[in-house]
Amino acid sequence: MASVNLLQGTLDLLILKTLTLGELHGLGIARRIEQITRGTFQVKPGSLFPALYRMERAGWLTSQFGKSDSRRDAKYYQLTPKGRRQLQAETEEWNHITRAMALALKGT
Amino acid sequence: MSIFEPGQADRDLDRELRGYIELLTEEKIKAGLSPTDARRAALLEVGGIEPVKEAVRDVRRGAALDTLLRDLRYALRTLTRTPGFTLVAVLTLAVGIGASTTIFTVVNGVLLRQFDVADAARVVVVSESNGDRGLRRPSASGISIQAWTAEARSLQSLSAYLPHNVDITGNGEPEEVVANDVSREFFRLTGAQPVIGRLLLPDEFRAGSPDVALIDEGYWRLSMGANPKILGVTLTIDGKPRTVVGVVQTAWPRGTALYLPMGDTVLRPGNWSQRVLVAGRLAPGVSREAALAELTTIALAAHSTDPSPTADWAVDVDSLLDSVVGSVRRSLYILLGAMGFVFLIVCANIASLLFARASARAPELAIRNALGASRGRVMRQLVVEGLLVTLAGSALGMIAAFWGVAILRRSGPATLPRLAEISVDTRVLWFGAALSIVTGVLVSLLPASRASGWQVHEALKAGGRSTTHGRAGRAALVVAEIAFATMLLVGAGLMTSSLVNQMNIPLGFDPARVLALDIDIPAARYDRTRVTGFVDQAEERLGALPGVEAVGTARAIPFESFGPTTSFRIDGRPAPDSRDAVAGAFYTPSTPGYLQAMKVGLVRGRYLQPADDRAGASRVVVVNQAMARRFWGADDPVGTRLILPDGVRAEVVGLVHDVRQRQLTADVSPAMWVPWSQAPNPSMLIVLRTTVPDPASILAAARREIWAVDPLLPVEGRVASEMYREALGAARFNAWLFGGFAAIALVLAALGVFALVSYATALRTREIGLRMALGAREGQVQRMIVADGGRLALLGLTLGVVGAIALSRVMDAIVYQVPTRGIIPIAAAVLILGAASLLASWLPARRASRVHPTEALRWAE
Repeated sequence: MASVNLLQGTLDLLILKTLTLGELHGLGIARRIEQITRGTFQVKPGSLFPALYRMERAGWLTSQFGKSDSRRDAKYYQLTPKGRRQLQAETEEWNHITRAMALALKGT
Repeated sequence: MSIFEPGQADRDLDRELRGYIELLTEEKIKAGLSPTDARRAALLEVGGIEPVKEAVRDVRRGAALDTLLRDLRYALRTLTRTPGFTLVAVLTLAVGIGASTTIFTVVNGVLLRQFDVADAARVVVVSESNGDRGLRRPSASGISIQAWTAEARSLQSLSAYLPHNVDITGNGEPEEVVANDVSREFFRLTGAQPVIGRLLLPDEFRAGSPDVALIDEGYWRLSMGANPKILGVTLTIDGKPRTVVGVVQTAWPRGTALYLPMGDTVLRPGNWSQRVLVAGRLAPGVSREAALAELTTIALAAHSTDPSPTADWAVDVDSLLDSVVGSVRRSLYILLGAMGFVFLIVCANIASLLFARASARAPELAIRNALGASRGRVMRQLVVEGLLVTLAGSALGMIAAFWGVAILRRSGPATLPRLAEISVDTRVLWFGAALSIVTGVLVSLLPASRASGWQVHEALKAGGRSTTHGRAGRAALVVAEIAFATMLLVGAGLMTSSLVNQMNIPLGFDPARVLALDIDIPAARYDRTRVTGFVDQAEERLGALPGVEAVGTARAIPFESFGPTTSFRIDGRPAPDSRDAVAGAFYTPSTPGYLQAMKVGLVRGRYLQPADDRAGASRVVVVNQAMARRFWGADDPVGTRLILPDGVRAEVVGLVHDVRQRQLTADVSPAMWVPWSQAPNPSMLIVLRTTVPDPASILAAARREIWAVDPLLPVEGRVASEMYREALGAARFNAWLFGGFAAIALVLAALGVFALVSYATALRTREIGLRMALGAREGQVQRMIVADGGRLALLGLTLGVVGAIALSRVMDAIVYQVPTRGIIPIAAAVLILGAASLLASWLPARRASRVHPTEALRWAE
């Protein structure tokens, strides 16, 4: 499967998106991203955890420890209202950029 | 998420990552791998726990830096938004730290820093004094030294030394420098090392050995351009050629240019009149007291077989540092103490300012708290602000200290020993750093601890009316400020009175427009008659100079030197029955013009006359009032005869006013002046009473006249009015410093009162409006507010007066003839501070009472 280098903003956007449906732990987030991008993006822990840390500091996420379905220790992440607003803003921004890029590429 | 506990954050991350790996392993087991393989695969996929942790830590560190920068930016913005507060806080701190560090530099350089002498703490200076008869000189007699050198076990490297003035001639203009005659052990005692060349050889101390000299490194660098070719050069020192054999570096005594071998004859037994300085190093394990006991025993034994007039003199053993700076220790510590008070006032003022600021910002901080800023975050913000203020204040203060030290070194009193040695060293820097840290903690944590706990409902309630936190604390600070300021004002009052009293001491002569020429004639080139001939010619030539009104010569002049003493008997009275009853007085040979040129007032009889100097003239003396009082009581000395030690009878022909010969504040000793020709002396001062405003302008012409008589003589000029200024130097220095401290204290205390009353008044705006709406008049409101400030001032003044009484007892020793428990300085301090406090209270009171009632009420709603 193609390993695509994620831009920072892209990863943030994907994480925010995966959390809209409810809280998830780190592995859950990684798997959900693989799933919704149909395997295009594989998120390694080395980029996942710094991103989670940064986003939590920015106040987009909150977290707490809990137990997984299999009674494993796991930290669950949840969107904050600020995170939701951020997701909306970034989505618009993304759409704006991709439309512009598509236009530009088609134009020539 | 925790910023203040990185350890917790690390542990959380660890736990999260372990959970992640377990979940991954579980996933792989479900996919069909064996537990071992699954775990290995999971670890492989994660790529190691540590790199992941490191990546998160990187982000965390970046974020912390980012937060700090943000805090700094925010703090700068808040501080520049209130430039008044920032400026006052930074300047107050700068003054406090700058002044404290400057004074500490003086104390450190003069009192604390050891001399750069090997094992300096164990070096002692030995002296002998005649106890209650008041002569104490840091010197000892040849008899004692000889005995100590032979027998004393408590001291090592016992050395004799004697700094004296010598002339260097034949090398450009003749020059007078200080040469130190030293005994064999001297360089072992000081641990001095030759920079080039060598030290003195044992043989060179014997009579008849080749004449050699060592040059001090300081003088070599300053006056000889550190010329390495100086070795082997012959210098003419006091008319005697000496070969330079080495350049030596020694930290003590200061100001020496040359070291010459002290001839063994100086220290021969029986030589009691030759007095030299003595120092040695305490033997291991020997205390100063033990050394004193041993030296006293040896001196007594030596004198019992060799009777001399100094047999009953007491021995003293002082540490090197004490012998040099012992006399100023007390006054410097008093200055340091006063500086401490100033610093306390500075701290109180800043604390008070910060309380006020924190109160003013309570609503803002409470809102930030309510909006989710953590307590830690708000605190950190305040700490960063405090640190910025401290940093700016300390940096300014340290710059001010460097500047202050430079000024003091240049213009401090000449009577302060080691003044030239003071400098900002590492200990001073540590002191400054410690002060900055103390204030930094105070400035940062105090408001933070107060402000960050406020809750939003409390702070926002009724526009901040209830935020009276710390008002009692601030009142206490202001009371303390006033108390300390009172003490400093009283101290300044005492110092100023002391200065004024010293300025009012009658000198007995008129120092205005007098130039003194300090001349030392090398004894090798002149005999008695030639000295007299020289003085005659020089006086004649100098008297003919334009601008010179009168000329006279004496062996000693006021503030410069005080010459020898002589014993005498009054003709017709029985010989004294004990040595203690022997009468003694200062004995100053002078030419007839001297007393008149100095404008010493004549009480009775006549001055010395030219006829007294003629060969075969009958012997005469002129005495001062102190001598008349002491030895004649109410009788008239004029016309009586003295019997001098050589058996000659001399008639007292004149009685003159007391002249302050030594320090201003010392009692005038009995003194007599005798015709110059009776005891011509190679060391002399020729005084010129001039008609020009700046007598120093005559110096060059005067030198030419002296050189016309003898081109090889060094001539040093001294302006009498400057010597008088120097004599007042210590008193003036103390008065200026205390005055400065008091001024700072006064301004800060007034600011403190002003800030507190303004703040309290602002809180009461609504109440004041209500009172005025109900009919209270402007004056009543003002009185009410001023009374509040007045109560604080009264309490502070009361405490301050109690402190000042205690302080004045300590200061008793360093002020001159001021009744220290007298009422005037205290009353003046109370009046000044009381007035300042009332003014500081009245300004906000007036403002508050001018506010229209309706406005005040509306504002407060």
